[in-house]
Amino acid sequence: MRRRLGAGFWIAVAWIALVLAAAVLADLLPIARYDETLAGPPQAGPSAAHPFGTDGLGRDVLSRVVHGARVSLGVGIGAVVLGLAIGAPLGVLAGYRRRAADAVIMAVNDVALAFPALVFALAVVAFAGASLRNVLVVLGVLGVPAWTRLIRGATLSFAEREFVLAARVLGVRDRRILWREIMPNVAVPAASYAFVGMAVVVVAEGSLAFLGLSVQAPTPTWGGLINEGRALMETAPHVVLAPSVVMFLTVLSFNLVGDRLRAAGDVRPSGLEPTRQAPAVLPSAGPRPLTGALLQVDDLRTHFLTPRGPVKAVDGVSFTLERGRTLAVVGESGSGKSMLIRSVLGLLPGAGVARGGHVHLGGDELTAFTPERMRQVLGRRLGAVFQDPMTALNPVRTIGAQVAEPLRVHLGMSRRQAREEAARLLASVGIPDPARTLGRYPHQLSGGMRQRVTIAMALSCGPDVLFADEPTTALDVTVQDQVLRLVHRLREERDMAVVLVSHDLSVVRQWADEVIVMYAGKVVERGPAADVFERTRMPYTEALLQAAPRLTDPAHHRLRVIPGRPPDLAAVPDGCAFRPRCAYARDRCAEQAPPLVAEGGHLHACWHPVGRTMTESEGADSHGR
Amino acid sequence: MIVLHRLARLVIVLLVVTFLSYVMLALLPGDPVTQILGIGADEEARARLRQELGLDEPLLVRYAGWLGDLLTGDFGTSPITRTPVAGELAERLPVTLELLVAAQVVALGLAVPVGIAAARRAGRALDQALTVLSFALLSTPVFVLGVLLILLFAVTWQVVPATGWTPISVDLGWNITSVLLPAVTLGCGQLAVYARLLRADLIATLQEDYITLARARGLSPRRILWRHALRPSAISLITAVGLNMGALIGGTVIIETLFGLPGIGRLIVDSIFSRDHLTVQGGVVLISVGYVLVNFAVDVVYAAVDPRIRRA
Amino acid sequence: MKRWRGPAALSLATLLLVACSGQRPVAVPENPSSKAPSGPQRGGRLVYGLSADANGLNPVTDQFASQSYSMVGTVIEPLVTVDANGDWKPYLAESLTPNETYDEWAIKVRPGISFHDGLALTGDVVKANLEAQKASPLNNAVLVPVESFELTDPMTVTVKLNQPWVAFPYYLAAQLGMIVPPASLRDPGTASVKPVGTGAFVFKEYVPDSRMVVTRNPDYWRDGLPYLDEIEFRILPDSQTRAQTLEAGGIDAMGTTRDEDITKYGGQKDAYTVHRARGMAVPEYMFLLNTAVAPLDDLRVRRALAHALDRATIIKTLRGGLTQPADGPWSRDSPWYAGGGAYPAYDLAKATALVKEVEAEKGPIAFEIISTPDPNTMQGIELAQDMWRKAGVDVTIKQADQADLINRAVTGNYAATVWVQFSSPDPDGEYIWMHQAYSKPVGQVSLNFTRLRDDKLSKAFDLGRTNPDESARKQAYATVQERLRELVPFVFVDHLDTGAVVARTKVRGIGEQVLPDGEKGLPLTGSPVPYHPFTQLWVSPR
Repeated sequence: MRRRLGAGFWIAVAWIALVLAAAVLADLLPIARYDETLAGPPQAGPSAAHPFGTDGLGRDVLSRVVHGARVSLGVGIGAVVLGLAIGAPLGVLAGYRRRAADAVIMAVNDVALAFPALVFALAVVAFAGASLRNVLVVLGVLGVPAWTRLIRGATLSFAEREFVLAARVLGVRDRRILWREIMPNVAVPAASYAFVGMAVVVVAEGSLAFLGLSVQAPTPTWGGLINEGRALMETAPHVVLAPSVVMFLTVLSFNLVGDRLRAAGDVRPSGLEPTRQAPAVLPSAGPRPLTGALLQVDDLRTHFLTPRGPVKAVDGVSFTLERGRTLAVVGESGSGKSMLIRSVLGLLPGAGVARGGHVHLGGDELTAFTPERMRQVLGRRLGAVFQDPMTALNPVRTIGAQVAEPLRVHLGMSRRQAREEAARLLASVGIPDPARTLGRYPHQLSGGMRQRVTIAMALSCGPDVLFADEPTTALDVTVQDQVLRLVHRLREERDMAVVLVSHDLSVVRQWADEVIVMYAGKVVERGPAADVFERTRMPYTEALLQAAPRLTDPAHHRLRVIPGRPPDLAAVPDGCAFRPRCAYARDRCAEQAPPLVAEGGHLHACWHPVGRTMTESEGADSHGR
Repeated sequence: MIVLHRLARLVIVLLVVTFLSYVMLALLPGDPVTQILGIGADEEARARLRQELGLDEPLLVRYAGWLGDLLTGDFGTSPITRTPVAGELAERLPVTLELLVAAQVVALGLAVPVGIAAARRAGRALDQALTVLSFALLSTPVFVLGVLLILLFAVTWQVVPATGWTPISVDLGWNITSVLLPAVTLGCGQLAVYARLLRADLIATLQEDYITLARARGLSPRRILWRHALRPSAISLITAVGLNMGALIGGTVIIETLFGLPGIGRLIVDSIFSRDHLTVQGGVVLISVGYVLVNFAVDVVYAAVDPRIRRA
Repeated sequence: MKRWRGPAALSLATLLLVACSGQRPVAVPENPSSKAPSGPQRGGRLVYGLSADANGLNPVTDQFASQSYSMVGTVIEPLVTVDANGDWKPYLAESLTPNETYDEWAIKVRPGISFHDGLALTGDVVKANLEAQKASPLNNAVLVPVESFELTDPMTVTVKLNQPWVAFPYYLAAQLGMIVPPASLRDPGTASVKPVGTGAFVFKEYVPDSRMVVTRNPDYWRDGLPYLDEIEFRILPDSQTRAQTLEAGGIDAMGTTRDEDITKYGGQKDAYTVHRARGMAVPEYMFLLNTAVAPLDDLRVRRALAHALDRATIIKTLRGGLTQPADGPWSRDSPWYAGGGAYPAYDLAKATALVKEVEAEKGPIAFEIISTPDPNTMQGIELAQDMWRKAGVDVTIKQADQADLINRAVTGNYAATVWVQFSSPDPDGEYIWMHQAYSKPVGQVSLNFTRLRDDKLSKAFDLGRTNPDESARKQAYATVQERLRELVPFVFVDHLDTGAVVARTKVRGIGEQVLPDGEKGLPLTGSPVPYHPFTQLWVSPR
């Protein structure tokens, strides 16, 4: 998902280009010499001859700012690059390797950090002289320990992450892990610090100038100019203001550019913030009469508004669900299954989303609820379990704190009550020694145990519906079965409804009562599980079924896949979305989208459904199997 | 075991750092003799004093002598101020420590809410305004910020004293008012750094599944931000705070100069300029010890914040 | 829309700064009736801002700067002081009497004075002090002519000299003549942080780099003095925040070297008084040239530098036009000024011609000028550098800290540097800085920093030292000035009287002291910030 970079970005780029060009071409520009004293009356304000005015010696401030850019930008960029070039590899190495490498690097780092910076700066200047290069080296080297520690800290937190551990266990070469898994993650804090660091360095140069340890006068630097101009702050504020503003704009521009480049598709709104403007409402069919079902979803739509047009993640989905039943939602990745769940739960980002349709839970229209009211429903009446138990639990909080939290927030239990209840819940999902588990952290549990914990959390307040979004995908086969068995047993015990999202059809076949097949945000087939599996109507469902691995497959059987790729949701083709990949497609499929038609309780959206008896009109020619 | 390990590290750091700084200082042009005698003393007087101070001995011998004294707890007596270095340091340490702690309290106290507010509304107007403000603060050197703050709060509104220092032992209230402006001045630059770091980490954390699941459990945004997202996002922030505490022990010189605070930073810088090696060395020892302690504290906090690190 | 927050924030900052530059609400102007002479009032506390801490408070072992005199001068008093005419007058001494040949001075100690520790001031204490001073490495160069000190009666010390020295008493007006009790002599380390003397104030507290507090001495030997109950000296190194503290009311008076302060506070006569030094007490701002190394060993180059320097412009640019250009070490309003000799006036053509001439012989002229890194000093050098550049001299600036710079000046390891000196009350006070006996080859310690060896000049200094005849002395020092103008070891810029004391109007009596024997005392002296006694300062009640 590409974001437009925006006008601010280009203004910032233009400013940086301007400053860089000015710095490089300073000598060629038609401005006064930076050291030409009395080029104008001293301390004169901005005028045509001196756009930024003159300083205490009558020197042209514009010229001094332009020439100052040379040193300040050179030092700012150079020192950060130098610090990163040395500090980042050391930090990653220390954080990743630990043991000896860590000990040695951090010991050296300690020495470097504990060493008084000023003694170092003085020594360098005294012996090597004050020059741009030396100032750059001083500031760069002084920054190295900070970079090392920062990167090490970030690496440490990632090196312990499951994906890295998993890669290590799998015997992936270290270098590859470092490059593929750690570097990209560490780059985020590093990059955000780099721009801040640059500002810090440019200002630090001013501090060195304050102490007389920067480049030799009269060579100007921004920090030096500010320091010089400080004395005139009351009589000639422009002398201090001009370099300050230029420095501020430059630092800000660098940050903005960096932020935008890094953030292309990265910084998503958190969704925590209620939008001030009401989300766009998509037109949808009015609510159908309530059927009295526990959960009734009518014509639900969720469109993400992107610069390329709306992305129709969920596009007119309807279904109902009764207590004690399990509804499975199947489809490929990107077909909108997870989005459907999040739309029902109302867990969508606040901005950039248009929604439509209605969700009723036991007669309450959730889609009309305020975020505050919705929070009373979430957790209490609707429970959710997500795909990856490794990331579904907060790594820094104990199991007890996390399981007990909804009990305390929603049910108002005391700390002790909640703890007891949490232990009971853990026991009910089959966790041995629940009392001890309460005090442990997620990383101390196996994947299966963690998923049990998330299920326990989802069930803690006795919800009416449990949404399980691929609850077993990340688990190994035997554990998968245990977890699903558990969900099933709990459904029976608590008389809940379950919405089970899965792309694993064998799982669905075994546990679901009803099935929804989704493609490109739409329901393409819906019906009782047995019907959908045994009397498949949609070619897409058929393809899914064929792609599903079977126990009967030979050991080294190649995984079957559906040829082609799911459509780009921002540009779904006219007609049937599956047409480009469908072996049965005909002209009509390209022209008109097939409606969802019912055959009893079994619905499908296809002009040329499969599984009809050969005697029917379309005949054998439509299905050349 | 951990303590022993730390102690060993402290000793190594101390040895290397003090030796290096001893050598660097000794190699700087100029000596304390000029500072003590001024410009009016003749060669003979200078030579006599130099010998008295032991400056004509070889560098290594002087360092060894200093180290030996240090081991017996003797920091020496400054030839320039004629006072024991240990006493001088002890007198000034509380000033700098209070300044540092107050500055960090100011910086963190503001940076955490600011970082959270910015991350919560990432990319929106408030976030952008805070970004601009952060960078404005970052690009304002303390010597300009301090002057502006004094102008506003001390000269125009007269709510706090402009400069000067009242020790806690004299009067707590005055002590707090006298540390307020310097702490805010020093804290403001840090505040911007901290807020940026926290914002970046928070934005990453808020994308995590466990945050979405926390929402799915009907928890309020406030609770999610403060209880769920803040701690896992704090690693870079803690690193930066630790680094700052360490680096600033001797780096508060500009603030101390502006506000007339009798702190460690000024002592060390003045001592470097007057070639008062013994005092500088005392300060270096202090900084090293302080740094190692801060470092230790940071690791403890790391572990408290992120249990996954405890295994290491 | 949101992208324009930047400029908005900027304009806010601009507003702030502009606001600072505008008229400031000043302290409530005093009621004119309170200005009616009501006489000094007893009591009150004064907070006095200083730019730097003293380097120790012991006059025997610690080198005194002007702030040291401000601080320690309240506690410890000198044998001699200087009156408003610039003549020496006895202070702790009752009289100083030379013999016929001026190679013996009898110092008679004023009776009835005692130290804060109760001990009486007697001849043997004075003798012990002077002997300690003679032994102190601080003074051994200055006191070379002193042979011995003898106690000729219990209250009289006779100083035996190996040559006539007519200006000797002047030296006793400075730290050399400040008298401490025997306990301080025995324990100089303690005396460095806890001064004890005979002064109008008793030491109370000293926190290095922060403050020194002294309180009224109830047993002071001068009747009715001092007026103030307590003085706190506050050390505020930054000139800008020091001035702000004055405005905020945190301090009542301060020393400054900024011409902006003189202009600003001088313009607010209702709220502030500004006091500047005059006459011999004014130091000179100059460039110190090392005449022993190339290219400045060539007189033509030195003269070219002087010719190229536009003193009037420097004064206009750097001093706000407040000072007078200098052509010698003594200012025009002092009795010792003499106009003889031709100091190279500003004449760029002449400078360029001289430079061309030398270049033709020796190649391009280039040298390094060293400076301390403080921005004010740098400004002066940068201005001069550009003026010299226009004459064809290539000057580079090298920053060095104080210790390095002084070391270089003393050992001759420099070409040129910026310098402020020559505020002694008597020309003889500059003897060791210019006499050829104190000029040593490069590499050795030389108190004659320019290393100029001029026989005529040195002879004139000797004459001024030994001849008691006033007119002969004037003649001698006229020769000194003439030679300096000819040989240009110093490129003079101005008489730097922008060192000043700025006080709130409630602080009265600065520079108005009366000496024990009834004469008016010298108002202010010293550089870069002048100092003055505090004994007769008082605070007018609101």
